[in-house]
Parts: sequence; C-alpha cells; structure tokens
Amino acid sequence: MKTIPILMPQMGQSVAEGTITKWCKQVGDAVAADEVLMEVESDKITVEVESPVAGRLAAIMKGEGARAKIGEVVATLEVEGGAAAGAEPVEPPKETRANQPHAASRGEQVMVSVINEGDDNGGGPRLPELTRDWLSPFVLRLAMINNISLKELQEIRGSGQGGRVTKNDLLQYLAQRPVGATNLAQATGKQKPTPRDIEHLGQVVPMTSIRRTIADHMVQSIHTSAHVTMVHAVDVTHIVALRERMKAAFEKRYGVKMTYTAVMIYVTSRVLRDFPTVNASVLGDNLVLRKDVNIGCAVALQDESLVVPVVKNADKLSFPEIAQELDRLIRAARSKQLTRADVEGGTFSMSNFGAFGSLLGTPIIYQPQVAILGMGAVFEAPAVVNHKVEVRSQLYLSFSFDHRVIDGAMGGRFLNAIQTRTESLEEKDLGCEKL
Amino acid sequence: MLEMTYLEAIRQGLRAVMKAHPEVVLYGEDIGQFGGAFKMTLGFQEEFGEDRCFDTPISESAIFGTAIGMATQGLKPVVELQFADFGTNSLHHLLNNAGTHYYRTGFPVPMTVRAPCGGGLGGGPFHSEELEAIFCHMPGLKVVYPAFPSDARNLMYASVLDPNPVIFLENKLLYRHVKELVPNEIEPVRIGAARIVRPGQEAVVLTYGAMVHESIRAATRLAAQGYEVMVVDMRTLKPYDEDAVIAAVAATNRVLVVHEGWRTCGFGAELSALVAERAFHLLDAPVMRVTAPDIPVPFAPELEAAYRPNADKIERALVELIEY
Repeated sequence: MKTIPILMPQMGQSVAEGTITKWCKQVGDAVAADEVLMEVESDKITVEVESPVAGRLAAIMKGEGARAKIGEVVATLEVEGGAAAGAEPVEPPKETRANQPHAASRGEQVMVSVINEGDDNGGGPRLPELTRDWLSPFVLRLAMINNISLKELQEIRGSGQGGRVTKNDLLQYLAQRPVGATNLAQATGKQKPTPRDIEHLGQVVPMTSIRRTIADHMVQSIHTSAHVTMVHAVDVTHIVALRERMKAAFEKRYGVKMTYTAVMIYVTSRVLRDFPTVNASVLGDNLVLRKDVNIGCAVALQDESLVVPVVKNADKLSFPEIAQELDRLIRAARSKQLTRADVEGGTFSMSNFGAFGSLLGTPIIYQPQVAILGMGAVFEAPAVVNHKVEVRSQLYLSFSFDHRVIDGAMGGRFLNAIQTRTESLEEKDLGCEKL
Repeated sequence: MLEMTYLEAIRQGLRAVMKAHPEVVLYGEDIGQFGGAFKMTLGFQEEFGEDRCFDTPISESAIFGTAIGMATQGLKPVVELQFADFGTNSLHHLLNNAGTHYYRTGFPVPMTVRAPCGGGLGGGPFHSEELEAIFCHMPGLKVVYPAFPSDARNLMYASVLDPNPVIFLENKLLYRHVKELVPNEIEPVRIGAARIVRPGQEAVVLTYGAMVHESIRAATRLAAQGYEVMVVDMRTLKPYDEDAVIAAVAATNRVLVVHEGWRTCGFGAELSALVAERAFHLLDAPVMRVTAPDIPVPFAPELEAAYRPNADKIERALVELIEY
C-alpha cells in the first residue's frame, strides 16, 4: 500500500491558486483511474480533476470552497503496491527542511537556506494577481496627460492580467479615440503652443516668471472673487489748492513730495478702521477681520512688471509718515530692493491708474483681500455747487469689492465715507498747519 | 578587427597596460610560471620579468595588504583572486583599508583586483560564487563587470589606470565561450556607462555578466513571437549608469532585472529600488527579478542547472511580465 498526493493542477500561466468547488468522492471511496475526483475553479476556468490512478481516497486536506496554491497537496490517495501504469507513486512531500545537519537538535529550525516562493523562477506566477480596477502608475500618468477620466479609462477594453488596462491598451485607445472626444485642453484652446508653432505670427516673447506669476494671480483672483466695482466722484478742489500752496514747504520739511496717492492712503486707512469687513481676508471658509491696516499700493515698474509694496499700520501713521514710507517703498521697488517684508501682510490695496490719465477703472482684488480702491486722474470739470455750475477739481474713485462677503450697501457706505472724509480734509490732517 | 575570446581580450588589455605603464605589477596565486588557473597570464612572467609578474603564498589577505601598500607608494598593482569566492578572505583590507584610504589620508589606492566569478562550470559552492553585491556595498571601491570581449579589454585597461581600487569581475563561463570581433586599438572608455545591447520596446532586461548573453537568447526567442525586448548590459556596477536605467524604463515601462547571484540584497535589489525611486510613474507593471535562489551554489550539474538563471527562466519571466 502506498500513498500518493493529489495536487492542485496548473490552470494557466498566470493562475496562482484555485478553489475547490466540489468533491465528487468522499474519504474512503474507491476511485478508478481517470475518474473525476473534484472540480476546481480559477478566476479563468473551471476544470474537472481526474484521479491519476485507481485507489481509495485516503484523506481530503482542502474541503469544498477552500483555496489552494498550484502544486499544493489537496488530498491523498491510497493505491496498491504496483500502481497503475503511467502513474508514478510518489511520497507526499515532507515538510521542507532540506538538510538536517546532525548537530541540530530535534525541532530546532536550522536555516540551511531560505527559498522564497518563486525563487526558482520555474514558471510559477510571481507577480501579484490583479483585477480590472488596477491601474499602473504609467497608465494613470498617461491618462492624466491626455485628460482621460477614470470613467473613460474603465470603459477601455483591457488585455492585461485580470482584464486590466495596460499601457498598450491605452495607447491603442488614444490612437483610435473619436475626433469628437478631443481632450479638454484642445477643446478650450488651452493647449500650450511651442514657440515654433507660433513664430510665423510674429515675434515670440516668452513670459518671464514674474509675468507668469502676475498672470496666474489675476486669473485666480477673477475666478475666486465675485468682483463688483462702484465709482464715486470726489471733489478735491480744496486739496488741489492746498497742495499747490504747500507742496514746496512740505517737501522741504518732510523730504518727500505731497502726492494724491499718499492723501488717499491716509484717508482710506482711517476709514478702514470703521469698516472691518472691508479690511479683511477670505481664508478657506472664514472671513478674517484683520487687526492691522496695511495698505498695498500697486507700483508699475520700468520692465512692465507690477509689484504691490505695503504701507504697514497706515492707520497709525501721520500723513507725512505715510508720504515718507510710500516714497521709500516706491524707490525700493524701482531699484529692485524691496524686501519680502515690504510686500507681505497687505490687508487692502490701492491702485493709482490716474497717474496715466485714466479716470475710472475696474481694479482686480489682490487675493486673499476682499477689496481694492482705484484712483483716477485729478481733473477739472464743470460741477454743480450750490445750484451753480463751477469748475471744480474732481477725482473718481473706483472701488472693487468681493460680493461674496461685501454687499452693495456696505460698499456704498464705505465709498461714501471715503468721499466725505476726503472732501472734509483740513491742513492739520495733512501735517501742513505749521508749515 | 580581430576575433578574440573574452579571456584573450582581458589578457590583451592587461598586456597593453603593462607595456605602456611600467608601474603596473601583477601578482597572485600561481599566476607566474604556471600562468594562472585559467592561463590568463601565461607568458607574462617571461615577457615582463619576475619583478612584474610573480606568485604569492596562498593568502588573499597578504596579497591585498601588500597591494594597498604598493598602490600608495606609486605602483599600480593588479592582483588576481584565483576565484572571486576567495575574496571574502580579504574583505577587511578591501572595506577598511583600500576603500577608506583616500577618504582618511587623501592618498589614492590605484589597485585592481581581478576576480574570476560565476558558475555553470560545475565548480561547486567555493568556485562559482557571484559576490558583486558584497563589493558594491563597500564605499570607496569601483566594481566593473564586462560581458563582451571588447568591453572587457577596454575596461581592463581603464580599471588599471583608475585612481580608485577597482574590482574587475570576470565571468569564467564567458572566458572561452564568448567571441567577438574586436578593434585593433584599445579604446578609452568611461567606467560607469551601461550599453543597450539589444533594442526593444515591450520590456527591458537590466543585467550584466553572463546573464547578458542568456537575456539576449531569451529576447531573440521572444522576437520570434513578436515581442521585442530591450537588453541593457550594465557593464559597471559601481558607479552604475542610473540615467541609462531610467531612460530604458521610460522607453519600455516594464522591467526585468536578471543576475546570476543570490536574490536577497543582490545587485538587482539596488536596480529595483532605483526604478521604484526614480521611475515609479513610468511603470506599467511591477519590477520583476530573475536571480539565483538564496542557497549555496550546488555542485551536482543537474542541481546547478536548476539553480542558475538561464534563457528559459528569463523567457518565462518576460512572458509573464509582458502579459501582465
């Protein structure tokens, strides 16, 4: 009497294990050669496993529903001494402890060698089994580059293991993709042309990094805030007169010019203290009412770039101090000597496009702030004063605010406060009373 | 152009560098009058004299210790390990003296170690080992492992002149089995450059030594089935050609690493780690390895054949990789 093992059969190159779905014989049953012993299912096929020889089913190691690796012993068969022709009776493999040096005591694990599964490279599957859901790093990357959605990827027929989409499947799909299904970048015209593609149109000037930063920020801001712009006309006749009268003395006393920008920073910094919602930042889902009043002032540079240095704590500075700090910042900006601290921390911004003659504009908010004040040019125009038409100096203030957090009424009140405060400015406010 | 064996090519490289540089000396066990276990240096003692090609006692430690001394004193010693397997007797000198010397003192150690290695010849556990991973692990050494006669000759020449200690691995099976048409003149080569020895796009085999030839064999068979597989011969294991590896992964997206040495902490583990670190986004399948198992090299020819990677095993792995 000899015992031979029944092994889980190989069911294809990439199959690592099988599930026994049914035993057709019970322990103790006599089995004829080639008689079906069990049914085995892999993820690809179901096969009937026949007995190699006649005998008696001695033991079942893996019951119905159990999984076994290819080559694993699932049952043993007892056969008569000289088994049927063609079937080589073999001993069931003993526990793998190949060489037992005599010095080793019983039960002690002597590591002659460690043979990991697949070490022999003998054709047994060694890569992990896959399902259709698995996407390789390269396939994911390729899909991303070509704007293929996950949904679209899942619809591609996969030829890889478990039906997964391989690189070649995706490349083939991309080559055959219907023309209507052009990718998003092409559809929105955002695909970046190379200089070679467009040089026939004219001189190609690549954007500098600062220009790209400005561009990105502007677009981001437009897509972030709900911009609304309101315009007030402010009568600055008395300020123009004051400035004409005092500018020489002011410059002599304080070392800097008396500018309309400085005047408006002064006025705005005072008004902002009464409008915390305007002196704020949107961070995530929070509106942060900033404790300081730091006013950024857009400065155009010779190279056509733009920086926004910040007058810190403007509400605590006197007008001459504001004028001096603004002068320092503008000089530093033009000589490229602004420090990081000079451009950080802004809570509100101003832009004087009036310097170039414009009367009004629609400035873009400097994120994450919520408002920006644009100054037009000071110009003379007929105006009605006390029911009479007079020639007055006027200044249009263009106020852009983020309608997500500031409503029209609030915007109007803020601009109104700016106007009132500007029109009521006195000599002492501007540090001119003792000149 | 001359057709020559791998062994003859190394011999010519050695002879040329000895002729051109009188400070080159050769020594080792039985390499003098006997010409070495593989007859590599046959006739060298007659040609260059007993001062420049001589025998030593059977002590690898003594051979290496003296070589380090000579190298620091202006000579360029080329010492032979009769079998790379015996190199373990000299690891202290390699790791702690040769490898650290320049770092410690600022004086280079321009010595070269010729180390015949590899199996397939029935040499058993002490005459068949592949120890490149051990050498590569040590800072301060270079490790060169050519697979073709022309590379072997050029790299031999370059290794002797390199200011660092260089382990020059010679695959014994290739000595007389591989022939190639080699240019008459020795070409200057850079230590550290890999070479694509077979183009292909379905997958890449990263390999070296005797396995380059087994991999080419496997790739040739697969080409008959319509799969073009790239084979990259690393040629130098330290420093190794990272950019060539990444470029090959970029071109194929599937990687099989093959070497004759053991699996755990083998050089293939280094290559696999590099691919994972620098080319993860380029992979369309996991990196696979075909290596020897972690057991001593068997002596019985049947067992050694089962132990050693070969074209059949490489082909099977490639099929699995390509079908993944």
